[in-house]
Amino acid sequence: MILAVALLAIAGYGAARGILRSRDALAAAALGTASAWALFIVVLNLLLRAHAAFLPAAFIAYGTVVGLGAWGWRRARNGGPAVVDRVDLALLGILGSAVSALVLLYQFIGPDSDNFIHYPLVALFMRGQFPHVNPYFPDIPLYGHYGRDLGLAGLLTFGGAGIGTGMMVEAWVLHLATVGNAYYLGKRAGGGCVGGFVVAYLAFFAVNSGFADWVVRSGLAEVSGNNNPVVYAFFFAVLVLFSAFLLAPRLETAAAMGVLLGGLDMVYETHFDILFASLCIVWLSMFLPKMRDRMRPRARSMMMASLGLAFVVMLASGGLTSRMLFQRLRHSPGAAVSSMAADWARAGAQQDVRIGFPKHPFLTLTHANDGRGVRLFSASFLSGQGIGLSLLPLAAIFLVYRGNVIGLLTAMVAILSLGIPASFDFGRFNGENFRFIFLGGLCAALTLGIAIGEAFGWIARRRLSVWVRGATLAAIGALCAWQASRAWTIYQHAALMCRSFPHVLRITEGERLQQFCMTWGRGDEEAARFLREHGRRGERLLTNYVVEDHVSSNLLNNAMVVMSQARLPMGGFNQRLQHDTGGIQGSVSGWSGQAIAFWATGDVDLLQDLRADWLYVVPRLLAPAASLALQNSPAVSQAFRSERGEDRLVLRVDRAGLPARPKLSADTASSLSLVRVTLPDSLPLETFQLVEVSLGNSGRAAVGGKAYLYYRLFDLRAGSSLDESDSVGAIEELAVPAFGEQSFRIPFVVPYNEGEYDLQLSLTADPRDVVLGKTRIHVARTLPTLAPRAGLAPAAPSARISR
Amino acid sequence: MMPYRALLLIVVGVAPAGAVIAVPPLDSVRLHLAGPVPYFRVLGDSLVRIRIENRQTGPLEGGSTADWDHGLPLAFAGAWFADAPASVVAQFEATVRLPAPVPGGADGEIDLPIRPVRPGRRWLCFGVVRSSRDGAAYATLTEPFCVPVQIASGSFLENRRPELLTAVVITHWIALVASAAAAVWCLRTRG
Repeated sequence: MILAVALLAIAGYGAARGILRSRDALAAAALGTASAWALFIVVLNLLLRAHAAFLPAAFIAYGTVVGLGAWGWRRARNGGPAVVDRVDLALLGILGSAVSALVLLYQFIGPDSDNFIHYPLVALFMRGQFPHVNPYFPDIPLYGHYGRDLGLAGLLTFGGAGIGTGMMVEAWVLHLATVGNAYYLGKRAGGGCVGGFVVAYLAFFAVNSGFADWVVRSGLAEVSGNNNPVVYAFFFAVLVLFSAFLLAPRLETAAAMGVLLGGLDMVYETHFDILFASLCIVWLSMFLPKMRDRMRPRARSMMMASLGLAFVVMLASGGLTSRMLFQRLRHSPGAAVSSMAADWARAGAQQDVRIGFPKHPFLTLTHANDGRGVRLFSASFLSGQGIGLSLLPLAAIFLVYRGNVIGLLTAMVAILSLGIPASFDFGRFNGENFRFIFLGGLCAALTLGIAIGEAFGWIARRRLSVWVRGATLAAIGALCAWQASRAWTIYQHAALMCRSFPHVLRITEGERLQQFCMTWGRGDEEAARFLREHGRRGERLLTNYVVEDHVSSNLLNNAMVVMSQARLPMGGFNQRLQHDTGGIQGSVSGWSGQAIAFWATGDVDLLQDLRADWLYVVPRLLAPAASLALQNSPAVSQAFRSERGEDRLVLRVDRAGLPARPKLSADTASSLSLVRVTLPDSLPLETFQLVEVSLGNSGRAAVGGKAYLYYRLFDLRAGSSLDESDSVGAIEELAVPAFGEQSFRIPFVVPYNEGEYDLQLSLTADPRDVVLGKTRIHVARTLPTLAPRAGLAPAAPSARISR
Repeated sequence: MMPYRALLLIVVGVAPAGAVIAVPPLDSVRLHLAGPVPYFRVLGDSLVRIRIENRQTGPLEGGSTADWDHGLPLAFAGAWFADAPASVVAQFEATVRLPAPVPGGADGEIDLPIRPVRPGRRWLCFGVVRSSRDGAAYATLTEPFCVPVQIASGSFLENRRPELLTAVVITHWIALVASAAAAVWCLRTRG
């Protein structure tokens, strides 16, 4: 994979030199690397949208980029030798070494909180799963926000690196390319090398954007995980292409800009929307009298064509914006809303963004931590922002006065990035306006950097004394140092980790996997390899891996590692109702009731609901009852057992061989009703219990036969039923005498939220299931104590029934 | 977010600052191993289960991250490697917040994730401290409890991870200083 990336960068360099006509070798290297990576993602995605298979598509996309690079190299030979400016080289050396250090240390420290979704998505793409689905809810297709994972999956098919290593390489290579692109953006925007240095410096170390009482991001150097390296590689490549287009309007530049801008949508729809809108506004501004004289009509036409191309590529890419546009054109109704909490859970798992205007209250941002409103023009918000945002009006006015089109564009992006989330209501995703705010802060910093460069250039051209120039440079240096204090603190933190806690840093792929699943070892590698080779697209997995280290190895991350190494999605999770909605919240946090019940009992009947084709089993974590049940089930067979390392089992589930659920006739079952439910005294949340239910028969005839008895819970506080995957039951042999009662012990999984619930008991019947009755239960949080394995008694009774 | 990094720094970075708080005697909480010593390998992850014996009449504070955010004092168990048995609680290399209180006079057990970076025979020490978000409640609650352990070697580079990391940092500093010097020289020669 590393060689593939190197060749991609070389090809990009050739394309930038020959096709985009960049004589400066460093500028060509920076733009070429970012553009080649971006183009690879765009072409790969378009091929997959055209129903190509993943592996051929990856090779064709890669071949296309390399082919363009070869053509560019050939054309570059006729365009004169490449030049390297020594000042640029030295300044980029300063910036690059600082960025490289921070990116590497941060990547070593990890883990990124969003790896829970990115690792499995990359793995599923490598399996050929396209369009992609939510790995935790394999029935739910996803639409946007996947370009980074797709590109990484494409490059990883060349082998030689794992997903974690690939992410590290990606972050390092693309962030270094972005340093170069930011530098040349500032330089070309009129500020010369001082402007370029200040722009790149502010972008990477002195953005300081966020919520002062929560998280403030110092700059791009800190934001080196997750989608960010790819997003900002696209973003700055488009800006640099735009700046090149302004200097020399050429068809190739306009075309490259259009393709990359359109492709940005499936990587990061928010940034695409803002940048596209800003470029449209800048294009319109080209018709203003002052600007019209500068731009030739042909340049305006080419830019319009470029924006049109971007729109077409966006539509064809099938990202979130195109999905929303098509939905709006088709007037597709959204999903019915049962309650706020249910809608919140569903929208999170489905990436279902709804947009309302105006937002109430207007011009208010949403705090990413708890969802409370934060006025855009309030001291509490503005005091937490960097100097770029504080001086944005001043810098923007200065640049408009100077007719600086690039400055106008960055200022426009900054204004829209803050104005849009403050004016539009994105529902469940309001808390995600953190991304918009960072983009706003970043572009405000770019605007300030361009303004500083322009002002310094004006001073330098005036042939003022060396003291004035020196004092100006010193003032710029002081401003940069002052604004980067947060980035310096972050570096000191990373250096402290290196010095005092070197065991926290992880470099190799195996170490990185163990960070998420601390016992991951040879046995796991063997079992995962077996599943990679024998699993098929569309199949699903279930695991009982739960090794908690109180740090980052936990149920969710364990599942993430198993999924990403086996390249199979894993159902067994639930869409959870949140009592307190707001802020940024994950869409998955733990096993469903059915998965908990299955691993407690081994009742293969539950696999009908869980729809698992493979079971990845850690035998020492398997409950004895479940072990026995799985051994005795004819529908489950051992497919693989590890020979080295810790014992791991892979079991094959013959879903067709699972016994069908018995049904009574609805007429017979209609005489049955729920009499009572007896819960245990203690009900710790998310634990498996057996509860006693008594059924009464009001009919004159006894009711006998097998049936599936199951329950569904309705959360009274959230106003919605729990997810279907939290509905658990068991097949029971009924023999209820006429006018008599019969009791059963059925599996029950305590819900994840405390509060009042309606428990509705039902029974499978033909032609439709029969509701036997409903009872109210109360689940209180059991006060935990840190008990030895067989030691302290549980706390006081915590659940009671109220009819 | 990386909460455990914050936890490391809580214990390392919080100074007692002379606040007047009740500090129990050091033998009011005792530590024991609650299972066999696992196999240790350089850069390998292992869990060590320890038993916390609370000999106070009151509970040993434990709670959730929300409790911590609300400023409640919580106890943290930690471990570190030493060349000799330690006499005082030192800087923790691994820290775990007690997720629940240990009642007075009772025992509690907790797993500590251990990841050694140096091979050879060393002492693995454990301790418990109490702290709060503002640092006011900081107190050492135990005397160190140390056990000798053998750490198996890894590869050449694995055995020298601290040196490798230092080399990464120093290399970048050298590049930065050299680039800065080159920039000054280039600008001067260019005038």
